[in-house]
Amino acid sequence: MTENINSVGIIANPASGRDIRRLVAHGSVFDNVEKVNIVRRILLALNNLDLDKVYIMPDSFGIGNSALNGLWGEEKKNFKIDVDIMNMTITGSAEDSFNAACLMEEKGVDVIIVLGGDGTNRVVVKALKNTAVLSLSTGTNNVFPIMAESTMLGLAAGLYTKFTPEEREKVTQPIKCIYIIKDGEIVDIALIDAVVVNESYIGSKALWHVELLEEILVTRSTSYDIGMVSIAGRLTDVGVLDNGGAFIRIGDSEHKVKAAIAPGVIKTIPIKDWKKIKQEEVIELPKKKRIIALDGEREVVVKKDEKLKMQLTYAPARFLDYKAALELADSKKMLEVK
Amino acid sequence: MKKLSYAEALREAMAEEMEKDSSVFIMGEDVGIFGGCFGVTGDLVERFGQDRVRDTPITETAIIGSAVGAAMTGSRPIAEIMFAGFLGVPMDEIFNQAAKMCYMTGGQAKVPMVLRVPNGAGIGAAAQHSERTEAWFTHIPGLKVVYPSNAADAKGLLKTAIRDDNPVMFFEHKILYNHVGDVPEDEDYVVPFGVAEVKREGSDLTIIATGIEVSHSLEAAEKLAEEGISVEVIDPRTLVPFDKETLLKSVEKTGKLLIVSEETKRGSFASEISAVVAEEGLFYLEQPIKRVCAPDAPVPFSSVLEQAYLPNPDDIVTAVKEML
Amino acid sequence: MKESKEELVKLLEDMLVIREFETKVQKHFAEGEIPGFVHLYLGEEAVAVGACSALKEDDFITSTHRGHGHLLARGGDLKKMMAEIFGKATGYNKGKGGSMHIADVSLGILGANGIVGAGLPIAAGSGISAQILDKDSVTICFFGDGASNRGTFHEAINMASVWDLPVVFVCENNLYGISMPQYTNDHRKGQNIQDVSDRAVAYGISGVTVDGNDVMAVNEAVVEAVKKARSGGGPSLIECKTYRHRGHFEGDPTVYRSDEEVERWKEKDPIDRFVKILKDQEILDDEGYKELRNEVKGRVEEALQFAQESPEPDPSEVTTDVYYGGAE
Repeated sequence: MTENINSVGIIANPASGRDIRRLVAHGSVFDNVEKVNIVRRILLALNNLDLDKVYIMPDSFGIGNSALNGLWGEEKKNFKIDVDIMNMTITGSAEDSFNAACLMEEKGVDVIIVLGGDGTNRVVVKALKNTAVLSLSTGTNNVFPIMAESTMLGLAAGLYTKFTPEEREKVTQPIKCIYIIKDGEIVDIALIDAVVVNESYIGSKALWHVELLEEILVTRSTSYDIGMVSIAGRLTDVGVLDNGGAFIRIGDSEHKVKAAIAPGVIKTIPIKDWKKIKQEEVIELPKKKRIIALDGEREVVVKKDEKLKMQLTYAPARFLDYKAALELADSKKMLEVK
Repeated sequence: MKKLSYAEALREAMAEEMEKDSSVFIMGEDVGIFGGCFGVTGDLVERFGQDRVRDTPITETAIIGSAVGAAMTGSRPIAEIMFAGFLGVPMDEIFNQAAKMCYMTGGQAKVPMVLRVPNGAGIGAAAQHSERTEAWFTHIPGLKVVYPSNAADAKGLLKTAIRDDNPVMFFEHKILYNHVGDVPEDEDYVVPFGVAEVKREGSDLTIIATGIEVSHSLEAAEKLAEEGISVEVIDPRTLVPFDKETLLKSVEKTGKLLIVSEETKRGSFASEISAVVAEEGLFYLEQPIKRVCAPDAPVPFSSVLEQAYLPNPDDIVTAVKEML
Repeated sequence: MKESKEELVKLLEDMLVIREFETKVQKHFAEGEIPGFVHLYLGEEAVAVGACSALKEDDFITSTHRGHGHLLARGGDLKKMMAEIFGKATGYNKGKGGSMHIADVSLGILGANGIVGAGLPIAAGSGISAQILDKDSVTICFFGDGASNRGTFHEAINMASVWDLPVVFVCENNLYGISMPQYTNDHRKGQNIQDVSDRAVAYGISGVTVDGNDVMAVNEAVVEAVKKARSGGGPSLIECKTYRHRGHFEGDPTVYRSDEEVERWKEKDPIDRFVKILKDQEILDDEGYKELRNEVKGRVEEALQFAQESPEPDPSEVTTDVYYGGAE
């Protein structure tokens, strides 16, 4: 751990934004050239805040290098930040985001800016023990990351590194998550929803066949979020900062709701029953062959004799509220030039 | 018989075949509402709809490549490339795809498509829009190459081309589009491939000419007749297959051969004709073969230069006199 | 998605047929029995099988120079295929096409093309036929990452998009065009984007990237794209990230890639991965897998014997088939 150094990490997932939901739904496309642009804007914002160091996850597209190589003229001359594109093996899978998050935490970064979808954020949060995340959506029908201008996120992240521990607490929020527990062992987490699907294969990962849904556990339930969580939104209100979540069973019923399960895709879902659940509550599921989709992607294969439980809990990491951070900075006149 | 222009005759051929066979369709640049760059497709889009008279983007490669794919899957496309000078763009689709597909698959694949091309100079369109490229395609096994010189042949040959199960390069001379001629009214009228027409009988010398040079040769023959010179004029009509017999028979009779073509001379189809006669009719000849062609230069823009460039009836008269 | 035991085992069987067939071709090419060039499909089996299993009988495909896998996945006759690769009279193309042009037109295969990228416009044309002849057939166009830099890619996808042609463009991104990497961080690369599917946006169509070594993922995406195409929704671009285990052609010294890279990709072998899934799901056991492999090996062995024993073409065949149905 390096002390007294202000540093920010950037994890940009080169694979987000091009899965099958561009075919089965109408998911927006996020090409890597735009991710390079976003990272460049973040770097330029950070460059104004006397930051010591920025760590960037290496990737096969070279988002970090391309962002730096695109600087020219005065911008390039005035660019002073020490940018470290970390030395780590690139596997071209979600493992990269996980490993990068672990390494950045080891290096003691103050906050990690994540460019990706719910899937990328799930992996990053899973890796972190105490670092804050600031997540920008570059994926498909996301709930966890925000849509905002990256220059402002860069400023917010840079200013955050200069806050006291108390101030940091004030501008961050806890992150609810769901532990997936197979035979007593935590095998994965979900940030928004964990969905039991009556299928046996992962296939192209994304989930869009609503006929196969069985149970859904959500960490939040709002009227406006998209994805499987949208089903919960019809039934109850649980805010992102409220304790607790909801558990829904799908199946033959007179009670039907319309839910926006993917971009441009609204389906009618029959609700067998549902209940609110408490923070830290554990739900036990019947033994059965199935697939668990985490935040919209089929991830976990459960065999017929495996014992499956899910627990609603808090992740150790916290989420940086960039607006609160910028407001606090202004109240402290941190961007005033003397 | 009825009077039709060369362009109208072509249109009538397409319309009749499209009426008869719903798998026939047209595609090309500006062939729809615009009626074709030279007005050949005219009102066909109104009669057959946009599905069967397809205006394409500017995309020669995809026009020909997709014609190959459509032909292999049961359609009979008539593709138009706006100028012969544009044929360099989709060349792979013509010589590696259309021409070779049947052979490479051991005779399994059928590629019944027609590629219509406005050919030739004379309209002040300069080098890239005045090309005569028929010889390129006679060199490619698997293609048939057709070049009508008048309205009746235009109609009869195009109908045969549409019904043929092989890729046909169909060259049309731009200057001929407005030439009016007698065209048989019979709907079953077709002109078979590989049958030359003796356009004028004569005994002193044989002229074989293609495209617009057939009219020029007939004009020259008329002038020469006034001076008592009897010239036979042959129009091969199709370059592949080529009717050698009609030509050789004529050369045997006259002993002299003049080949007239608007192509640049080197490596032209005129060269191929002379090679055929050298190989199979050398001893019929009383003197060397002569070719009247365009010089080995691109087509110039200025009308003075262009007229100097193109073979005309006077050039033919002069050449014939040199030979007698 | 394929769910029944029969469907799943068939996917494996089709991949095994390609694996065994290509391994046999590799061996007999090395022994000098096969003339010309051969480009093996080893390592890419999941793409051809995942995609072709989404088609109906009267659908079409266009194939490439690396086309054995496509034809096998479409149900090609092993004997006629092997005989063609050996240049024999009994081959699919009577010995006139060879490895690069092997095709069974009656199975809807619109040629296997030695010109990189030439299949794309042909596939578009097949899509036009569906509209002209009012049929609900769909055409899958296989092509590689290298082809995606050719003008044919641009022109054909543009045309297909303009007319909503029922074509599914399946890019087999095996990361190299002979020695040229599809994407790297330096200037020696085929294109300055890593995902060919990004190009879909420029033509106004859907583009997705899937794991090309996962037969289920490929199948799922192609099934959806075929469904869309068949119902008038127009073309899609599906990029399958995969890797060829062998060089560009047999005899390629592969100086442009490292042994470690090859090993990393072999760990993602599409057959091993799928076998593991089937075993985990108790659809197949060791015994069943062994049986299936032996059965497939037997069929390939028979095909080899047929090819070896078949007559050479008669020299008089040189000038036949230049024109369909006979002479010019």
